[in-house]
Amino acid sequence: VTTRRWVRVCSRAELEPGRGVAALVDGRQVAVFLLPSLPGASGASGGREPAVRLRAIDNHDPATGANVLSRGLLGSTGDVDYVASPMRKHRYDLDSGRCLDGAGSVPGVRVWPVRSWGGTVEVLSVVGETAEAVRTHCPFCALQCGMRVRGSGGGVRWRGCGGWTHPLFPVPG
Amino acid sequence: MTSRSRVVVVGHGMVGNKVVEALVRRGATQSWDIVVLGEERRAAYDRVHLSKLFEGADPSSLDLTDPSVYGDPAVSLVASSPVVSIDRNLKLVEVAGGTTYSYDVLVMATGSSAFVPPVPGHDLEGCFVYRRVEDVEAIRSWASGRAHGVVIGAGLLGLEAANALRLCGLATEVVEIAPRPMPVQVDETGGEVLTRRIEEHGLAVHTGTVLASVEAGGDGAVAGVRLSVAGDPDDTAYLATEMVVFAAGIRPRDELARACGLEVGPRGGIVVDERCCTSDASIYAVGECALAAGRIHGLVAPGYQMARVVAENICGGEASFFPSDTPTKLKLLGVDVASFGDARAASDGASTLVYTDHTSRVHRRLVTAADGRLIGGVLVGDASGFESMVAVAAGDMDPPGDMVDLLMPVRAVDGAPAAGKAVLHPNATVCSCENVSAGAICSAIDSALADTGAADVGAVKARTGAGTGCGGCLPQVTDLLNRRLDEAGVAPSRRLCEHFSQSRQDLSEIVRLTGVSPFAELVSRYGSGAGCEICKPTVASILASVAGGHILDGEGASLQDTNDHHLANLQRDGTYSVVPRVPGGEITPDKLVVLGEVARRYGLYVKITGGQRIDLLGARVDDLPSIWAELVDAGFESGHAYGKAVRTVKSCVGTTWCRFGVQDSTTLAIDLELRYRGLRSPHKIKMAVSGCARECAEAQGKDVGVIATERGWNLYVCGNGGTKPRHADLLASDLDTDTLVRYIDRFLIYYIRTADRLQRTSSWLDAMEGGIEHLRRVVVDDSLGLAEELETAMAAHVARYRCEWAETLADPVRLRRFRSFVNTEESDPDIAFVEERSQPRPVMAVRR
Repeated sequence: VTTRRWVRVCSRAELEPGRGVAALVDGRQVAVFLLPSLPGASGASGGREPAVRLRAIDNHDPATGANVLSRGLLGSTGDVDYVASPMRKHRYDLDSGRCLDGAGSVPGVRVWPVRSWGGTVEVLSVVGETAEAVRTHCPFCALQCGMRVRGSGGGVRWRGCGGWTHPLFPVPG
Repeated sequence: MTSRSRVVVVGHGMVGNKVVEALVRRGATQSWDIVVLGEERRAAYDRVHLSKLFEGADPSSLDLTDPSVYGDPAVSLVASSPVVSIDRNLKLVEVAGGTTYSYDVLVMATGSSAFVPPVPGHDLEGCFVYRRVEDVEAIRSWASGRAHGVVIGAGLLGLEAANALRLCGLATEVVEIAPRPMPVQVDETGGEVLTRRIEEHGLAVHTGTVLASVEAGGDGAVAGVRLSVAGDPDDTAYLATEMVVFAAGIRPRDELARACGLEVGPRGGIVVDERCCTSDASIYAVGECALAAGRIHGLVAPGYQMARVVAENICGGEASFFPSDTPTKLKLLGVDVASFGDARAASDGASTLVYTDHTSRVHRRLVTAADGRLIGGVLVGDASGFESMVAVAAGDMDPPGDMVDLLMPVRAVDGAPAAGKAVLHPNATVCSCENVSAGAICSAIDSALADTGAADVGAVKARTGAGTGCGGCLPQVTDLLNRRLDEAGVAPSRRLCEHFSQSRQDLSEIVRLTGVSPFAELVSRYGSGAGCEICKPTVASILASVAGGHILDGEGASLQDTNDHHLANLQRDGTYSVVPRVPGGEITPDKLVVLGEVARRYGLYVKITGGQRIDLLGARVDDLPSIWAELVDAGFESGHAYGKAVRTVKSCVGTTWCRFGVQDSTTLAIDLELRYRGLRSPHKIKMAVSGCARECAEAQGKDVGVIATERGWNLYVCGNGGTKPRHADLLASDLDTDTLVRYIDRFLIYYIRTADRLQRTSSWLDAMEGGIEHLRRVVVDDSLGLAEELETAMAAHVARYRCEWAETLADPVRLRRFRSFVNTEESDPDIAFVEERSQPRPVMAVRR
């Protein structure tokens, strides 16, 4: 049985713009970041609402096997915000979890839903998830839960570890 | 004076507002009274930019009403007054509540409503449309605390709604019946490129998919949607969700018109002629409720055009509305999408010219008529040159000789030319980490140039992997790049990174001369974007060498890479090493015992370094403060092994013990190390002092090497071990100690000010015009007249030195970052050790 819940990470005030923290969430390590706010930025592309500056991904750097992504430096290239692993500088897109380096040889990381809720930063924890996950970003739950979307044939096809339904959102009844 | 007549405008949306504005501007109020009946509580507002509300804008910022228009005494705006009926015989409209208004001319500007497909469950709690400020407020309040939403429709409005849900923090999926998003604006390939772009934002797009029903959960609200494959209603799937937003198109609001017998189209819309007049000569219709030239015009531009036509006609003019294809250019989810004219090449004899780059997700297509005229186009991902295309298509600009010139993305080129360097054989290995040869790097540069017209170190890294390991080859990669760009006739760039077009040297000058110090200000005044892992530590280093102060003070904390951030060297398993300073390599037995005790207490691995000090490895981040507290208590200080800074001054025992020594090399080494400790620089700086020509301290392999002579000291500079060993060059001979120190002061500051990022002194000298001769003139002969300034800068550094670890231990705020996890006191459970040769050795846990 899969359950999901929002888990407290820290207070919003504990986050330093431009840096990350690591949190232990139901036994998994999550790196939570607060993107820096830029005084020069304005308008739809640059101005970010405070709540939207939070990002969370795995703390585990798949390129090197160490739990260090929370200690990386944040950067941007074009519209992409990323964290550069302090280990060997692999960059991970904070929105998709995709690794921007290594020409596809490095798997991506999970992106965790994160929010600021009454001054508290929380991430969505999923317990009881299938372990051997396919490394794609799941649109159902925003996690790499093993779901595969968009098969061949043009129509929508999704089949993951849980069959035709999503493990996090079972069919009622 | 004739009696005044009255225009009644039904609906105060964007177009209704424009009608009033156009009438007042044309002076209609001299003879007409204008009454506007608005259904909403709010006066007209900018519906096109509703999404701004999700970015934090206040609804009042969308207000469109111009006080000078509504301040006219002949204009009255009646809000919250939906019209319930129209009596064409008596020329009366009645609003809710029973009030009636007579009219001489009526303008229907009732707009449209969101189309909600009549599927089961479409009206459940948790179903929304995206049309009005109230809708936005309802969506936002429902979305808060929820995690997942579905948007029906991937057109312009649908994608905007999807972005809105994303901004609310929801995992969002978009369902579109057509085989691609924005089916009206883009072609098939454009749709694919757009889909990839949208997916990069974490949104999923299901095309060719139909909403079959919305299903309720136990609480009666939306719990999921059932979807089916377009054309195959039996192939269904269930998607759990917490809310549904319908943005699947609009339906003209023509119910009032129908009720009073005006002619409407078979699929809705009030039929109007080219003057925007309905089947009743005293009633006009404009905007999305009007069926003009056989179709509904859903964009605001044709709506405004109709408003002006109607105002002109009411004022006695003769104006006509000729629908033309409005060129549209949008930025949705950060993606440029533009189209104009016959974008899908539907005309007879049309041919197309296509540029598609799936790597950078750009698709551009131009459509030409049989006679070669440009008649349409689609741009996805890069809309540069769009204005020129529209101008060419409209005949406002001469077409280029070759239409391809118009098709290709427009690019800016910048940078300055670079100097020539030694040639590497194509088979030479440049990056040993990834085993990349010089030849492979050159072909990567060539293909980057061919694909994008530009090449930089980042492109080489992405294409070959070179420089992604230890990074030691990056200077060589940069050399190869500059050479190749030079050959290709492309100006190479010394830009530091994507965010600063300046070199490190230029930035260093800017900081020193302007005193601009916060990074955010520097990047907004002299750079662009948010910064990255390249420019942030570079700026932090410049600030440290110019201004001093604790490197983790203020925003400095967010600029430093993890080594500087934790004042320790990150190791492969996520632990850190601890290297206290041992000046000159001289250490007392008591201090040696302390190091041993600390290592034993914290389970650290011990190794003697090449720089004559002791490395304690395997320290957990949580343990760093207590380890350092013990070390500082025992009289140790930071060794800066973690920084791009002066590391060690290695020495032999000199005249003190050695039978061959001619000078006291140990004392000089200690003095130099204490003088330059903590000095931040473009790269690490290593030094050594040998007590005689036997050179036991290997000074000629160091950035600064001193070798004793019978008469004093010989000063060698710019030696290097490492990736590319280089013997140091003799800068000056037989110096007394004072002169030696002055020369080293000048040399170091000159290097710090003028070197590039991560450029060791050896490659700095290799790249220097005039080489060692020039350097000697600057340092020894003071040819630039800089000597005093350089010495003063060094004196300032020496005066303000403080141990970073001692200062950190005294500050609880700085200590907060030394935790494995922010939400528990636990340490990283994946860090584990086994014993090897009686010492700990890390085991890398294989996870997932």
